[in-house]
Amino acid sequence: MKFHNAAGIRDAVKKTGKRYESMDNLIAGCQVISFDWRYVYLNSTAIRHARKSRKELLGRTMMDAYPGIEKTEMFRHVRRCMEKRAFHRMENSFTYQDGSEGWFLLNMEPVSEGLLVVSQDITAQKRMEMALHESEDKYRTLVESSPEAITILDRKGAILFLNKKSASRFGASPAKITGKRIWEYIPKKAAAFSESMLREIIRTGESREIVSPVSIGGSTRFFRITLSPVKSKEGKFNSVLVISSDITEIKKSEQRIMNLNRLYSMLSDSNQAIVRFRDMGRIAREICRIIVRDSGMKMAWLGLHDPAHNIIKPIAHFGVDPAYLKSIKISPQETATMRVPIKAAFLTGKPFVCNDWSTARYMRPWGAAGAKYTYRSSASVPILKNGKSIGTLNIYSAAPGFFDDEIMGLVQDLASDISFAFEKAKDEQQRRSVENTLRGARRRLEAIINNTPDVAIESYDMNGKVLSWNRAAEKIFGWKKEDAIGKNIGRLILGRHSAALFIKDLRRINAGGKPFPPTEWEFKRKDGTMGWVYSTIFSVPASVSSKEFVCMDVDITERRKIEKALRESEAKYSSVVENSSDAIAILQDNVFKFANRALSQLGGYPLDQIIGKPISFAVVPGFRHITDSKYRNRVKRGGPTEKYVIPVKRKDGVLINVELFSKIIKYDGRNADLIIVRDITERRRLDDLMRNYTLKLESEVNARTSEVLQEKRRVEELSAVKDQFIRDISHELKTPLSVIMGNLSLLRDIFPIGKEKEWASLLNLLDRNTARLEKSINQMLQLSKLQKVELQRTRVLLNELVEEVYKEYLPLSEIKSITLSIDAEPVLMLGDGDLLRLAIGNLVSNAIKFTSRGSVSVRLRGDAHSATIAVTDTGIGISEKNQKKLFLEFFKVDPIAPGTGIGLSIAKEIVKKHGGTIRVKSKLGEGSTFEITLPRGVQT
Amino acid sequence: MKRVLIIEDEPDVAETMKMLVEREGYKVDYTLDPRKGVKMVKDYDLLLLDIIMPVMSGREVLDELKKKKVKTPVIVVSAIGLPMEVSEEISRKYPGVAFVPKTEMHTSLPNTIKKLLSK
Repeated sequence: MKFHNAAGIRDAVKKTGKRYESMDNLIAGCQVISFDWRYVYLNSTAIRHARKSRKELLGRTMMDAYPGIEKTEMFRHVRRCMEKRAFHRMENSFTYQDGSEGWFLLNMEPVSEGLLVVSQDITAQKRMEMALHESEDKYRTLVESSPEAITILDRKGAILFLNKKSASRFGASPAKITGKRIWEYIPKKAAAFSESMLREIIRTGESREIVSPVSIGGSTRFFRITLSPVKSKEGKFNSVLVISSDITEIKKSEQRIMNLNRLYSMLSDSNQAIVRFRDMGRIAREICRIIVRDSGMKMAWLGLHDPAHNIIKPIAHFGVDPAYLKSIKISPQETATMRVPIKAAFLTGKPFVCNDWSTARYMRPWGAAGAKYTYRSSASVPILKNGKSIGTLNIYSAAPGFFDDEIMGLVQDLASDISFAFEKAKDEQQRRSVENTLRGARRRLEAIINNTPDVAIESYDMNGKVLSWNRAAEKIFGWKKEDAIGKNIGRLILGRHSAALFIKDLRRINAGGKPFPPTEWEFKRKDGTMGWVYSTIFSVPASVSSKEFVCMDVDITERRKIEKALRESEAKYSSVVENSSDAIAILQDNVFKFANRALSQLGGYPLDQIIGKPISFAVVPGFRHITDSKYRNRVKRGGPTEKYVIPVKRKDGVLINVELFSKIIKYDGRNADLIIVRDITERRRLDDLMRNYTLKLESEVNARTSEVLQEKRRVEELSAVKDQFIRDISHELKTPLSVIMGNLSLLRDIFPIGKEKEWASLLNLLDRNTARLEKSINQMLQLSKLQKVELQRTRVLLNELVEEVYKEYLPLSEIKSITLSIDAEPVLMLGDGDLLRLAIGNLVSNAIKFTSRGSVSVRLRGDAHSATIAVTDTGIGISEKNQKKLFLEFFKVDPIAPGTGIGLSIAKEIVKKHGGTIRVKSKLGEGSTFEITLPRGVQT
Repeated sequence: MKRVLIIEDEPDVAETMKMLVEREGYKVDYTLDPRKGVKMVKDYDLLLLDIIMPVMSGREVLDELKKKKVKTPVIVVSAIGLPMEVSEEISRKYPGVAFVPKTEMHTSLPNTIKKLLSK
């Protein structure tokens, strides 16, 4: 409908409203748009979807209500459906005035008023889909860009997932390694975790952390591996997240500091020994013992020069087979090779270090013994008295390269303390040794602390006051050394609560004397941002009475962020899925692996009755093969995302139609089908409603059609009755007529004598009129028959027909003294020759009948498509009024011109049957022309 | 003299036809009852038969004669339909049977009789 005024629109709105009344309270939005784009019907849901008032929309055009709508994709479809009268279904997003976005599933269906648009709000589903994508994307980016190797294992050690970093550690691409057991890729010895550990983690739900040394390319690297259980979507633990970080650097620093620390305590203990004992032999013995015990050296001995024998004679030793010492007879003579460590140290007065016995040629004489006692490195330091060598302190380690500069610094400190003990008086010894020890320790510690990159090293006193702060600490915590030193940790990087815990830990370390296992601390940077460190704390002696605590931290903020994001992503994902109003399930191994509450509600089955069931369990029998085969194809071949509708039986027995949207996803590292199930019974109901409308319309049309058919049958019946009546009446008329005609004939045999002439004239008159009566009866039959017979079309030469008619009527025209003439071109047409002759004859017959003087002429002309036959007379003519009635069937018409009726009607009927036309031009008193135009139906 | 039998239910028609045929020099009898007529035919050289008759129609008479294998020539004389059409129908359904419209019993009937009897 199209309207041109307000009243028309109001009327249309009213009518449409009535027609679609039954849609008023549907959950889906229903709107009818007229052919000129006006809203002529909107149900309450459609109004709600539009967020406009009914008044703002009804009767107005779409362009009026939503300026610019004609440029949208949605409108393009509306226009197409409207114009093509086609059905269309689409998803459409819509931005409201407040900027929020809505999503709708639109069904467009042509109706007699224009277009019915049914809208369903799918905003929630869409949001969820987007959240899923976003969450997945975020997760992916984080995991993939992580510097940590991230692997997810199932309880049996199969790799469900791993990131690039992790894959590169195993030297393979993620695709290649996924699904394989992790044991195949790590050396058995290095496998720090085992299947039983995985099971334990899954069972208890508790995280584990291990540090595993791995030999890579000849050097040992240390990995800190955290294993934490991962909750599956069903809420059970079924896999383990493994994050492995390379902590070699921190490990190395730690080792070094531990070594130093041991030496400090050795130094401290040695000094105490020097202070405590007067006897030099005792002091030397004690020092050797302390060196081996405290610092983990293999052996230490102290030798003094015996001028009598010119040898270095051991006066104290610890951790050695005395047989070995006896074998060493070192004569410090300058002439012999200087490459003997002890001799070299003694003669030069400087320490001599051999950091690898296995490669140093000068160590060969002691090679066998070294191998036997596993000596790999050694250091010899001179003991000086008044600047002159009096002996050497010799220390042996099992670790090659042990005696680096820092260690040697300490060893020299020790040697100088020993020298001092030989030189000075007792009380002074005590004061200086303590000072020296502390100064040395402090100096070296600070050197190490400052030069360790990436590992923040700070030291604190018992109360958490900062004593030292290295460059890495400045970088990690944001505080400059000057700002940090002297401040309490609680005012710098830890909150009050954490600081209290930290100090508590310090006290425990002090009490236990053992270092604590590494801990993770959350800290606050100077700029207020938060971070995480992985830290080790141990104590070093600060003075005789107090201790200093060294804290070494590695920044693990990045890793914590990933873990947090992972957890959040998981939480977000599961909350989105759990709270979705759409029913969601994950199918794998042909059974439900996961289902959310909405699915449970949709089907009325409790969750535990869904999980583990085959996917088709609720599908109406007869349709199960569809879901089964679709699932198989999709999971096996990774088929495309698809949508289909299937009937499902609820637990309460109610049948509903659901639409399954399925998509292949990875679940536990394998293909699975994610399905979103929507109850479309409502939509189906709408469809049904529409179908009902259509059916109703159809039945209306059918009813009309059958009425028309009935009418047609009635007319046909009537027509048959009429035909029968005509046949009966003609028989009834003809029978007495035949008797009259027969007896007229008999009468001619018996003329009364003397009256023959009058008698014959009367008989002729009777003959003529009985013949006319018979002709009329036959014409009547002819007409009734014409209306139902098929034409017998053949190729007909119309000019021949005209000539035959001419010959037929020439006698009659001569009797009436009328000139009958023909002017006929040869014209071929496809038609029923007998009937065409009859039609032309009837026109000529009529012309002669109504012409008393003058002429009757027949003219025939043909062109490419049609033939025209004109019969012109100079007769009485026909009034304009009567011309209109002329071709009506004889028995329905007023008597106009007696005798014309049937013949003309027959002519008209014949022309009509040939698809032609007949018309008349006439002037009362001047004559008439009847012109027949016929399609030729044939090419010349 | 050739004998002609007329089966015609209407006495006026039968009487007129009898006179018209007798005028041509034939011995003519008629019967108003077709059932009687069927029995009489074998004694005649020609049968003039009406179609529309109560009790027994002309078509039934023709069927009966065919069944009895009566070889007497028959001319159907009837007032039904358009002469051309009826003629065509009769010759199609009953080969050898002639047709003359009733209105032509004073004109073309004598010639038709003559033609049939001369065969």
